[in-house]
Amino acid sequence: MIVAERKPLNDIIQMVRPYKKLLIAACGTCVTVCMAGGEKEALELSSLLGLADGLEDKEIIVRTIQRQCDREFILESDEDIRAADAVISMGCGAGVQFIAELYPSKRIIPALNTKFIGVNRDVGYWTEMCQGCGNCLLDRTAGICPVSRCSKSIFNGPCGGSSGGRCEIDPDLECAWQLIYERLKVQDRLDTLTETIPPRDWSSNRDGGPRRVRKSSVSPEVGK
Amino acid sequence: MKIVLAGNSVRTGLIKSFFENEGFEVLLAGTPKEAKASSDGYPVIIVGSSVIPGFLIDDGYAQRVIAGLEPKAPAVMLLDRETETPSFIWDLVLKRAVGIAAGKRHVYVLARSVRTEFPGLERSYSKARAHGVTFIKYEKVSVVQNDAVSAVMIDDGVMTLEIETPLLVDCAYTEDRSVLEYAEALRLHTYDGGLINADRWFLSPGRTSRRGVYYIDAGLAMSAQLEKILLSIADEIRLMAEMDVGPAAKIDPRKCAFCYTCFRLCPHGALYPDDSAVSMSVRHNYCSGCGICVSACPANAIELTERSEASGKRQTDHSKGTVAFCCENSAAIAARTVLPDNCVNVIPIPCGGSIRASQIAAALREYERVIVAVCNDGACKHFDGNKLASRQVERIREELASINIDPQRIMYIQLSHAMPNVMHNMVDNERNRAL
Repeated sequence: MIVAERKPLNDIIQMVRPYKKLLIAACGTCVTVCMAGGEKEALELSSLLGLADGLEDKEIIVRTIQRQCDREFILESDEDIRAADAVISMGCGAGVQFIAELYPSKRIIPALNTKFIGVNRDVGYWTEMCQGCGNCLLDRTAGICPVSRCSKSIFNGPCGGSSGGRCEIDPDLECAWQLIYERLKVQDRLDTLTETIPPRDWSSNRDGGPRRVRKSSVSPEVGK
Repeated sequence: MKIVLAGNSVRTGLIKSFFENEGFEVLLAGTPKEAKASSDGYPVIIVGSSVIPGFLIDDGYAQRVIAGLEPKAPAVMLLDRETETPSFIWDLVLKRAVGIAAGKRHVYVLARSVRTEFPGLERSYSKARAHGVTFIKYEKVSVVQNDAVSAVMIDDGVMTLEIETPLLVDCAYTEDRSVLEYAEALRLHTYDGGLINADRWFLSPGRTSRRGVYYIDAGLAMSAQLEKILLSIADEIRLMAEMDVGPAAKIDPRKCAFCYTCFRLCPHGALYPDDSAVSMSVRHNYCSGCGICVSACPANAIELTERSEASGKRQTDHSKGTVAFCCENSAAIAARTVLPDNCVNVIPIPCGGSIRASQIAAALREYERVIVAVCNDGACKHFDGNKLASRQVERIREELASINIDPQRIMYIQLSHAMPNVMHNMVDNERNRAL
């Protein structure tokens, strides 16, 4: 799941100040689950904006778009979006951009900072698990991702900064390579560690430019 | 009517026939997994076999022990030695103490604190006092055993006292730990790593944190005590089947994001993933209408069926500068004596845990001050509702501070229903502020 968190209230206030009619667009999927941009948060933001100095006369409405990363859901709120002077999107970066793309003349204001792809560890607590590098090697690392969970994304770790199972970058972090070692030990696969993971082709990652995925069986056309 | 008997007590058979005689169809669940699987919709009775001192429950044994003692020697019943003695044990202790005292023998009952929350317990105390039973409250206790005589040294923090007795009854109660596995499978709250709140002050014996789930200690044997508890459970189950159990959470399946937040936070285990649906569902017999899920749901998909109507009827009174969201179990009761011409608009809420940050923020637009008044720590009927409220208040205060609004416009107080003076003081303060 994509994990995000709301921007500081002041940042949002600065962005919305020039506009009178505001639409807060919650997103009903990932950011709802990570308690950052669902309807509950949107209503809260609406109430808080109403308290801010100089924002008392704003007309704010709240709408929940089921998934801001799918056109049809955005278009369900077409009328409200058109009627607003500005839209505060509580979606992830993808949602904000998609609304902006569909309404090029409209000011779309991001209310969230999109953080990472992660998992829920406890009520209200998420941690990063995947960076979307495009070439998964979790099989070799006992299901623990060195790209996203090692601070240095080292492929043949640990580095010299691993101490007592902790990472030198942040002592609150567990060393991913220590975790990999321990799990391989449990699986009786420690010999895996003797094989060096060669430097990889990072073009599958962001380094190859913005990525696209096409499912040929349903989207056979080339182009666009 | 079907009920589930969970647990593996030697007394399960006896209890089963009791309920069958009462006209119930009894399903047996011998493992926590089975109990969980069969709990859906049916009342569950967990049967434990904890150990209670035989002296307290076996009349014949007790009489033989007493008959063998010197006529003048006192008997000492020691409670709360390792852990707090549950009130149903107190009940047994008092009855036994009266029995011994009636035979012209002095009885000391030593305890750290006196328990009163059990039907008929007050009467038992009066009876025991009338029979000359001496109650002593202690802070520290030590016992030295010399052959047939025990020397009990007690210290109440002011003075010490030594009592010599040939009959020292340690009223320690050893609970059946396997019961906790059932409690976990049914997602019940447990206290102090111990008994499934059978001794929680606001719950009577047999009750657990969950409506529709009961706990019986078969260590009590088939005594009149146990029969009384079983009868009250049977009555309650029948009553529950007939009545509408009050406000319940209602989930809008179109909004539900299936995020499990409500499932994780519901103190009563009332929310569960319904396999046949695409959203969470509510077990109405478990839901207590506390509204904690309403506050927690990030999709704003839950509302309380009855309460939502009630809240619609509530008038916001702009002439008053302050609004107080008061938990109906404590603050709202304490506020009843507050004069109607006060300057505080009291809005009852089902639990502190039901308060939403957006509710507080919205109230700040209409009122100068917002008070969130909830139960004391440990007194919340829904366990941690008061703490959840505190966290919401803290968060909104931080938000306010970040945009230069005085965070002290939100006040958080804890009180009990019997503390109207706290409400009065608060109202006076608000009135003085307004002037």
